[in-house]
Formats: sequence, structure tokens, C-alpha cells
Amino acid sequence: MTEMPLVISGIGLAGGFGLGREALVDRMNTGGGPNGMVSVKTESGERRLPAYQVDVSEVIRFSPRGALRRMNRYAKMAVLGASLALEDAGWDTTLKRNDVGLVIASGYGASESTFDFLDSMIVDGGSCPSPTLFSNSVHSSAASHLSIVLQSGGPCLTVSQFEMSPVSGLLTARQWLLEGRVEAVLFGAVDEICPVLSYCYDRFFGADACGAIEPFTWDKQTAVMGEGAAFLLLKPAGDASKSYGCIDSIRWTRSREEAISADCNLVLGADGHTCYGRFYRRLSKRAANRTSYAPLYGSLSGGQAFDVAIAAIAAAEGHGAERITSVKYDARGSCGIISCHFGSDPR
Amino acid sequence: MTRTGRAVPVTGLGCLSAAGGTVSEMTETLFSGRRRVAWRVVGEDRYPVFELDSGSVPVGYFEGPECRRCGLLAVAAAEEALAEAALTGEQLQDRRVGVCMGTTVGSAMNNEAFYREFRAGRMPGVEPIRQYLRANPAAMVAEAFGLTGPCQTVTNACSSGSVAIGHAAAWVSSGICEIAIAGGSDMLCNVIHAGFLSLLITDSDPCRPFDRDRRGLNLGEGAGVVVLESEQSVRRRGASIQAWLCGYGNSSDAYHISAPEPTGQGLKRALIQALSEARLKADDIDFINAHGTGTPENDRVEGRVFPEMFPGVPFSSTKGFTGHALGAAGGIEAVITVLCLRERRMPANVGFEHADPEFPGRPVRENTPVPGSYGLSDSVAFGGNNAVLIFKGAGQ
Repeated sequence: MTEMPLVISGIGLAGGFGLGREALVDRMNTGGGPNGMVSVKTESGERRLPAYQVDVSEVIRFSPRGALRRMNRYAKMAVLGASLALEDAGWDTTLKRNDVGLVIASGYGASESTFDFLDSMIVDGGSCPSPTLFSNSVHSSAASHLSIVLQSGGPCLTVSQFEMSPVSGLLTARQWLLEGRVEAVLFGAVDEICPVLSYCYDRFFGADACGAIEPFTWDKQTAVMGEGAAFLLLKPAGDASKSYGCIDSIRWTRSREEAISADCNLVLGADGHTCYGRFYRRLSKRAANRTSYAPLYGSLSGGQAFDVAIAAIAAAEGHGAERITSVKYDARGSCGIISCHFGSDPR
Repeated sequence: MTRTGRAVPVTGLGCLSAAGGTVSEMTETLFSGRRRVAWRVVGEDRYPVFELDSGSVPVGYFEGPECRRCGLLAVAAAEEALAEAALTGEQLQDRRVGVCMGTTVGSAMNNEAFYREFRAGRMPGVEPIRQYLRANPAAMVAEAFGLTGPCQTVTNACSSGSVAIGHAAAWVSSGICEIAIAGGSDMLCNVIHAGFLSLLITDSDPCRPFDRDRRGLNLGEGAGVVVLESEQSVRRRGASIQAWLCGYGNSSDAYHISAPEPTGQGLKRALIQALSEARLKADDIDFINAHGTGTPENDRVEGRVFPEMFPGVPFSSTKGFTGHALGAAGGIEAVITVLCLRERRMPANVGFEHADPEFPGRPVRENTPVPGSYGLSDSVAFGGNNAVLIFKGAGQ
């Protein structure tokens, strides 16, 4: 298999901790936790659930007002994350717009607009639902808005593979760079909380929710809903511009923890869900060093993109290891393994 | 930009659509010129749709949860494709096999019945959501055949199937997997139908791609899958090659959330990329399977771009036989492109009668011989995503 290190040139984060590197580092220093609450209706009345929520108001800094008019929250998170990554990389003006690929990984897509469109169908009796809501409800809507805002005419991909979306999307990002199809890839994971997902979350886990993620408590459901966007500007090795380090390998396996070297620093995607806790527990027994960043950003499908981004920032700040392996499982036992090294030598 | 220029063998095809439940049935339909239109009532009006014949649907299709239908269609098409590739379950277990499937409905959490209950405050049970979480089309294919390689469900709207095939070919050529099952799968769904009606781009008559009087698309459903395999794997097991995937291009219009960029700049970039990867010139292309949805905007773009970039190259849309199967369209049309190379002919563009004076492109009116080796299929998606696949016939 052809391996090729990918240089991380810029990072853009929008999460419950705030926007960008400074907000994240601040939260790392003060301790993570949910920053908001959502209400759900239950048999016994309304229940308030903790959640990690994103304030998207700053998107105005990166997009013309006209373009924002028809943009939903999901797309705004994508624009925020991607723009922050480009800003972090210093707005590389040598990059031609058509030579930048966009990869968006999402578990549930534009869920709020999906249900808003259903509302417009039901309210109008199916006769005249909203075309704007429909256009915004498709999974690829964030990628479309992003390509318009950035005027990026390169290849574009939206992946929807639940927890495996980031690793699956990264395989494509690397492939595009390897083939010389693009000069850089803006890769990001985006997921949003909406009332229906909150309701489902409560129905699945409500009784067990305790309000704080305990990533290494395997038998207890402690996941807390999260939303946000984590973007990486990726370039091929050898690029002389700013760098956090490299993604050295990207692998997809199925329940084979022996494929993971136990003597490295493991960043586990353990986020308080018991359904895949058993996989992490097995791996954890063999691990010399392990950490989880989920308490900083919450439980969401795109968590592995946050893990890689946060590990890179932690290393840059002197808080984290210079070599890490990020591991994310899904409930079926599929496993995404992303190995990185950080520091000034991009190899 | 450098390109690998490495062609990937196609060793199996599988397809089901309104034009037939298998590749051979579809071949017969396409060259017979007959189309089978059904009608659905949406609101107060009737609309033509291209739905699967009840005899074509997989076992358990209507009995099980609706959200699993896209996955079941993908599995059925994959079964046919694997059978043609002569790949047994045992052989698949021994190899690293990836799955890349495009869809729209198959990834959407738009269960109308569940949501009606939810918004009425009746606190519905979450079993439909549990089922949705088990209905990811690529994961369903991987599970059906016990595959352990990478899985990707591409949700690029109407170009998803083509994009999935393009990416899967790259997985094979770079050694991420030996074999990839790739294509698209989608089903008719009231919510999506209402969405297209809201955009005023559906025709209340059977669709007329590239015709002057066209008024829009008709929705369709189905799945189209190809088996892509490394040359080493093909050699090792002495498999037959049906065609070669030799070029893939993908671009964004960066123009509008639902309408295509009118001058076709984005589509041209994808076409140029695919030609470059295949190391071909435009006049090497022998025929084009157009996206040709029958919407005024889409057909205008292709009707201008094809004669400009590929003067004299015959093209046709097969949406008149299959309807627009959204995320499955690129998969179905990739299969059609390969079968045209195999049959050495392309089907007439059913529904086309009057040339549109707004653009010079004219699709073929009759079944037309394909004397050469290269067929091109393009997809022009909602949101401005363009994808192009170029296939070379086997042994040509």
C-alpha cells in the first residue's frame, strides 16, 4: 500500500470550547466540560441534557452576508472550521482555488434542516414545502456552501459513515494528494445537534446520562452530546509552509487491536459510549500511554478529526506527545487508526 | 498536476433499475426503446416515476424497514456483479475488499412517520432510528459479504455513484485494497420527491432529456455496482476483464446550492481531469452517456459543453429508461457505459424529439453503433459537484 505523510498546515476548530486554538488551549488548561443544555420532552416532563454547543455567529467574519442568508447552521459550522484552518495556515495565497480539494465527514449531515424540511412538508400538506430547506437538507450542502464561499472549484467529497467518517474521508484526502489531483485538501468533520437527535439521545441513554464524560469508565454510559467542526489543511510532505507535523499513516481495520502498536501514545476515541467501550477496554489494557480528548469536545461522530487536531495543538503547546496514534471504533468493531508525528520536522 | 494514469480492471457488473432487474434485462430494455413508466400521486397531482418492477426487488425489500431498502438494493447489485466476476465468498474472505457506495436517501435520517409522531409530541419509540443506524449502504454491503476493508458511503448528491467508483478505483490502484465493490444505490422516497417538486424541476410527463419542450426530471430508483480489481488479483485468479476504468475527474462549480453553473466551467474541469488521467484526447472518446436529467438547466449545460469539447461525439441520456435515480444514477450509468462498450452500440435518447435552439448538442435518436474503445459517463449534481468516468472496452 502506498503511504504518504500528510503535512498539517492549518487547524480550524469550532466546538463547545469555543473557536480556534486559543479557546481550545484555554479549555485544556481550565478543564473541559459541556457548555450548554438542550431540552427534551420525556414521559415525565421536560428534561435538560448537558451538551457541547457551537456559537456560529462569528461566521460573518469569513463569509459575505448574502451567502449566509440561505446557509444553515450545519454549513455555517463547516465554513467557520474551514476558514479558521485557512486563517491558521496564514491564508496561503499561492494555493490556486481549483487545486484545493474539500472533504467533509459527517455522521448525520444537516439534521436540523432535514427535519425543518419535513416540517414544511407536513405543515403545507405536502403541496409547497420549502425549496431552500430541501437544498440545505442534503448531506453535501455544507460542502456546496463551502465551495461557494471559498470559490473552490476542486474535487469535493462528503462522506457519511458514522464514527468511521473521518478515517474514510482521510483515505480519500491522502489519495488526492498522492495522485497529484490537488495541491492541498481542506478536510473536516462536521456534526450538529438538533431537537430530534437530542430526543433520540435521551431515549437511548437518558437514564444513564450523568453530565460529564468519563472516557475510561467502560461500563457506564457517560457520553455527552457534542457538535462542531474540526478542519485540517493538509498538504503533501515537503511543503515548506507552516506545519504542525504529519499524518504518517491512515488505516482501516476490523476489530484487530493487534494492528495497533501498544507502546505508542494512544489517543482513544473513547467518548463515554458503552457500545464500543469493550473495544477500547481491550486496547487500553495493552497501552503504555493513553488519553482521550472527548471531554473537551463531546461525543460526536466526527470525533476522530477533533482528536488529531487537538493532539497536534497539544504537542505544539508542549502539553502533548510528539508521536500519537489516534484510534476510533464504531459499534460494529470497525477501527480507524491514524498515526501522526508533530513538531518542527515534517519529514 | 501529475496523474497516475493507471487503468483499473472492471471484472463484474450488477444493476437493477426500472429498466430491468439485472444487467441483461436492462440491456434488452435499453435497446428495445420501450420504457416502463409508473405514476405516483404526490399532493393532488400524479407524477411519472421509474420504479423497480415488483419482481426485481430483493427478498425482504417491502417487508423490512424502509430505511434498509437502499442497502438491500446495493447488496443485490453487488451480488450480481460478484457473480459475474466469479468471486466466491471464500475468495472474498481471503482478500482485502473495500466498499464504496454513493447514495442520497440511504444516508438521510428523514423517517416521515417517526417525525410526524415526534412533532406531534407523541414521543415515538426509537426503533426506526436503531434501524437507520444499521442501514448505512456501504456497511450493509460489507456485512452481507463479510468484508473487512475500508467502507465509504459517498453523499455527494446526484454524482455520488460516479464519485464512489472513482474513489474505489484509486483505492485499488494505490493498494489500499485488492478488490473494491463500488457504485450507487437509491430508492424512491416521498420526502425527496416533495423536495424536487418544491424546486419545480420535475416533469409531470415522462421526461424528455435534451428536448426543446423538456420540463424536468422524473425520479427513479435502483442500484448500479461494478467490481474493480487489481491487475495482480485478476492475473492470479485468471479472471475475465469486462472493461477498464481509465479516467476519473471531479470538480465543484462553486456557484449555487442547487443550480448548475450555466457556462459549464465546472463540468469542463472534471472532463479535462478525467481525460488527463486516462491520457486521452477529447477525440479519443467514442460516445458519452450524459447525465441528461431533462431539467432545463442541466441539459442546457451539457448540450453546450459536449459539442464544444467533443465535436461529433454521439451522446445520449438513459434517464428516459431509468428515471433519475439520484445517488444511484452514476453507478447505473457506469454499468450502462460498460455494457455499451460490450455491445458496441449505444441506446437512443428516449424522449428526445425536438432540438432545442438554445444549445447545439443533439443526442442520438436511434440505437447507434459504437465502433471505438472509449465511453464516458458524466454526473452533474445538485450543489455543483461534477464527476466523470472514462471506461475502455476489454480487449479493444
